[in-house]
Amino acid sequence: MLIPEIKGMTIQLFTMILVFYIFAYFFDKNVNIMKRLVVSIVLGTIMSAIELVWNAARFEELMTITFTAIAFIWLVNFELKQPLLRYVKAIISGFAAYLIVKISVVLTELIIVYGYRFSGVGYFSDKVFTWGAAISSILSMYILSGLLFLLVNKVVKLMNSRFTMNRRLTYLFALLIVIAGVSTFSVDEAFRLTNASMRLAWVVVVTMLVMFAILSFAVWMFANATIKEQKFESEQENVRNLELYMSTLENNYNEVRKFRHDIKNALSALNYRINEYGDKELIDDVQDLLKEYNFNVMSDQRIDGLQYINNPFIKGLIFSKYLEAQTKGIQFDIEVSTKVLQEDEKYSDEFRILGIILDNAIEAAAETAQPRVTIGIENIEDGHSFLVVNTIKNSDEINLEDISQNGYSSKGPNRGLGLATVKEITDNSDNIFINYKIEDEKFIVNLSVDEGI
Amino acid sequence: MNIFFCDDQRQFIKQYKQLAENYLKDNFKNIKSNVFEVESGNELLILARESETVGGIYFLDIDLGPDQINGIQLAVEIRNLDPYAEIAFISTHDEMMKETIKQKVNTLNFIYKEDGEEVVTREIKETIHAAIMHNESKMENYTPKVFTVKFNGILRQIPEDAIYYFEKLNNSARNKLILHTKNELIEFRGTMKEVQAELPDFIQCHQSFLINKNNVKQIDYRRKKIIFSNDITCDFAVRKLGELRRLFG
Repeated sequence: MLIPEIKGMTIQLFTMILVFYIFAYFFDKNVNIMKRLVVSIVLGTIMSAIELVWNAARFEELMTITFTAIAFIWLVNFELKQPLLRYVKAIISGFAAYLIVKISVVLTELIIVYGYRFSGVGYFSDKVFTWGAAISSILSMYILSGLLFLLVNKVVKLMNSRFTMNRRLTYLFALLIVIAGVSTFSVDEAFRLTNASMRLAWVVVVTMLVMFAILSFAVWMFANATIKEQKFESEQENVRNLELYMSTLENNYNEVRKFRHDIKNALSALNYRINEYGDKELIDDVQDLLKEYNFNVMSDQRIDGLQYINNPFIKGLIFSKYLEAQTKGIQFDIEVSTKVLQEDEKYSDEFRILGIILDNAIEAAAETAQPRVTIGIENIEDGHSFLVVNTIKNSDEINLEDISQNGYSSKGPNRGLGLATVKEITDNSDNIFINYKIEDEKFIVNLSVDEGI
Repeated sequence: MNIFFCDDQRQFIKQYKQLAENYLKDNFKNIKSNVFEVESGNELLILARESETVGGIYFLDIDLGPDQINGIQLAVEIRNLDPYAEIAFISTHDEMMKETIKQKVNTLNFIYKEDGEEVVTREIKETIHAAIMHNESKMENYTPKVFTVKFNGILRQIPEDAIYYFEKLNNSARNKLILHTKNELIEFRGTMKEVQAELPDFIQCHQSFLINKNNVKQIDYRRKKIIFSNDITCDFAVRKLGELRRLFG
């Protein structure tokens, strides 16, 4: 690199190891220390050895780039299921390594050249070892590495952040533009100051810009793929949890039913014996008890319909809303009498719409004297339909035109947002048709999904 | 006025028929009425067709026996035959599909057999009363003009008078219109051209809006809005200003 002779090589080797080590640390903090240390030492040694053997001015740069890329790939544990992602990550690592090394070398040279010119020590020579050159070289490497670490760190963080796609890309491009600007400027300056051929400088600049473009594209692809994978995984996770939860709840529910049945039988038997032997008061008490608990009309028949909802997403959604309604003392009926839905379909639009509508229904019903929410699913010609009916207060005051406008609510500004979202989905859908109706102090939403298209 | 009772158990319909006849004789002497009792849906449909019943009152059991058309399907058929039918169900609590059925056939009442004779008797009487009142009010402002819209696979007949306006969505959904009434928004597949051909009296006041001029309450020329009752509004295009002024002043 910049400092010749064995002494300089040694200093440079240690600097490199440290730089790589810190780099590795920033890139992935979970990697174990030994692994990181070994990578750094191996990388540093290889770099120095190459330099020592070939003693070539720029050759080691290529090697540095290659090894940094390999180290990146190895350090960050890519336990991703899609093989495509691994390649994308490898490409990103390669180009990132190229840019980082290139910038740091050029900037280091630039700083040293400037440093010598302004300190008046004399023109910088890379043939003779001087402590001044060694120290300035090391210092500049530290500073630059530090800055680059921060940059890389920022990029890594961005990749894992929960920002929206747009925001992520904006940050990413801002960063990349800064890198491109700085590198173009510094390459240009370095070549000018060292009186090298300007044509060569432009070749480097163009290469860097091309690299930058490819890197941006790769980063974009990567971000996309990561988001998709995360979404997929979290959805899978949700479904698994939901299924587990549902089966537990269904078991409990069946047990409670069995228990009710047993109790009813036991009570009936008891009732019979009391009728035969008991006194008047006791008979009346038992009759009242039986009446109060109404064992004949099983109130939990209301959610029998749940067994016909064979799609785990929709079933989970409806069941969770059922539980919510129960805690709020709202009567919640599920009217489903045949299997209507597909088991492995996601119904993402319907799911979102139904979630919003059921939330609104529960909220609105809660304010009424006899709160009731009913959900129905049924087959229709060419498709299926969802029905949500809830009781409402002051039906005269609700304006159907307003409910789907942003921010409308009879209670506050937030509630209307949901229905605006519903409108956005249905407006852009060719096969989902919605019908809102206000009738007899009830709010009725009918969602008709045409599967024909 | 024709009243139908349909149940596969003979003793019920006999009893209901008696009850209805007595009630009508006591309360609505001036209304000419026939009460029919049938045991199956097909029988009822034949009777309704032959008698050319319009605005009949139908009391149906949902479970009409094995291998028979059930009460819900029957109700849909009746609606097709007699758009002004007043339909009520006399059934059991087992039937948990109440709201779904109501939306499908727009029922007048649900009567539960288990509630006891007293309640059933009272409910039947009330239903007949409500249906007669309903029918009378319908006859007063009798509008034969209806707009037929298909929603949920069912043809629904919306009286033209009830329609405020049609809206066409600007964005991506193809051939989707929204019908606005006082208390309802219905999305359906169709084009403005088709609707306009069917409803020539309606005015296209904007690329996206086709309005029923009979329901316009006033026009806000400053804000370029057409106002219907219930504070329902829609925009109009500037180039239609002259036409609107001519029509509404």
